[in-house]
Amino acid sequence: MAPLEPWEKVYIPLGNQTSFADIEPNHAIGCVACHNGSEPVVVDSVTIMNAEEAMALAHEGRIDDPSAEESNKCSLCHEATASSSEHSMHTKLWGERYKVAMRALGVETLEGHPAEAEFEGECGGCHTTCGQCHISRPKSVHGGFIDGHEFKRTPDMRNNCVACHGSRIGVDYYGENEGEGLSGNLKDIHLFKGKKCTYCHTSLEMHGDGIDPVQPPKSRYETPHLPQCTDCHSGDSDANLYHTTHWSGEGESASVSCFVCHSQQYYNCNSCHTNSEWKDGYGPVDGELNVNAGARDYREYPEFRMAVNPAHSDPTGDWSPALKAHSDDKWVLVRHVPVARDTYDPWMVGIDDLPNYDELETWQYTSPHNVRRWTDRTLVDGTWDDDPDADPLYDNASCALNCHYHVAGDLGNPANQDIYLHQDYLQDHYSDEVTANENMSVNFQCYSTCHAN
Amino acid sequence: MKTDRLQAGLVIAVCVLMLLIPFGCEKIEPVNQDGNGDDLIAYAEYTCEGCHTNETILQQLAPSEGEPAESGG
Repeated sequence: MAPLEPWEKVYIPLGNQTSFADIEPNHAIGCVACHNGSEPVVVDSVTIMNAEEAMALAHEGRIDDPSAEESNKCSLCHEATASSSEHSMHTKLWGERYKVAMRALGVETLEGHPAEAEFEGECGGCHTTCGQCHISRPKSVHGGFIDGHEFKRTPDMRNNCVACHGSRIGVDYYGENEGEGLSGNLKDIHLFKGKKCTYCHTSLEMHGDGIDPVQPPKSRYETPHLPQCTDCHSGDSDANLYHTTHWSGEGESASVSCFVCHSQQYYNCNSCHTNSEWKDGYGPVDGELNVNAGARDYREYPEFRMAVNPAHSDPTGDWSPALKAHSDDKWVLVRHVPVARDTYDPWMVGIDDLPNYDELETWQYTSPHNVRRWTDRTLVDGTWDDDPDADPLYDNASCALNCHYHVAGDLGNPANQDIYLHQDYLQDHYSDEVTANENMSVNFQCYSTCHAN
Repeated sequence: MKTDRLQAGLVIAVCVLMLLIPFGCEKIEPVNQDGNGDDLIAYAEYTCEGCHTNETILQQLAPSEGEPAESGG
């Protein structure tokens, strides 16, 4: 996304029209009605000498984003939407809020704790508002009108959604990874089919419809109106051998998350970023590919790891909300998230070392936005076996080479250990996080990991 | 005689054009660095829309600076 010059951010080109009211007749209520300030300001060469003084006076008391105020100006006309949006995931960051509270305090809310103000001040910097989706670029990328202060009913994918959700979701969805670590990844099939973010993520979800602020979601996967693959693909459960085996089948071979098979490699994060500080053990490592040296030394690297969801065998157990929300799936994809024991030390609010750090996994359930029908898991060509009659695409045995793990024989490929969240891998690379992830990491003890009844 | 009249007419026409052209074009004076407002009389009355729809005024009043355009999340 190209940066905007300061003047461009506030420029309203009239084109063939004569006034803003011609462009936006439904919102022609005068600038100061929403933004305060004053107009007109007269340069009389006595009390006001020049343009700078005039601008300062006109802007005195102005509100840049009227929808960010407690008295959201949008609510004057859009009361219901503005009201529900106050409790939306975008506004409150419920899932992140829960995780900070749980790791720091062992409770579900930060309410009443000094950490809440720090959370609002730093994490809350990514809050969005009505205006940051429907008029301008988000504050996190320093704003600027999308289209001359036109009110956009549907947010712009590039300038709004991806402006914030850029380094993971954006590059995945657009397939813009060449030379950045995910070389060879293709754009998400849904984008290829012309689907924009709002095709799946509806206004009901975005505006927080159905969220109870007294009992809010503990994970973004608990958000009402969250899209599901089956919203469109419910009829595909027996579309091929792999679906009948891993989706609608019985026993241990069933219950594989769609993302396990249909995601390409995706970014993981290692930089722990409160106050822009690197955390112990997470600095750059020689030879490690860091694909993003962008804002706040944010570090990412390509990875693909599947893990066991303990909530599948014990749906009521003490697992994270994200895992419980996917208790139908035994095998899920996970992503490393940037949290270390000392992540919140810079806040200096008495939550140093996160006493409950081990209570939540640091490899979290993930749903990458780089879905393809054919991936490294599903694209099996059958050339590995000697059967000349084998179906090149639906060879029953060859899938084992792409996913399954077996030390020997035709039932799996030992190299596939690298696509699992294996305990050895954790021990070698994330030794401080072994306990936090012990319930979902695998060790390939046959009957406890894959073949348990 | 006829040529003299044509020449005189041409001179008058050129003079009239030279007088009219400056008044016929919209002229936006730059804002002085020192803030002297003598050249701002044409924009004596400032409205929000008057400035925010005027690219030239905005460019003069809003300082240029480099900023990041993409966040990390």
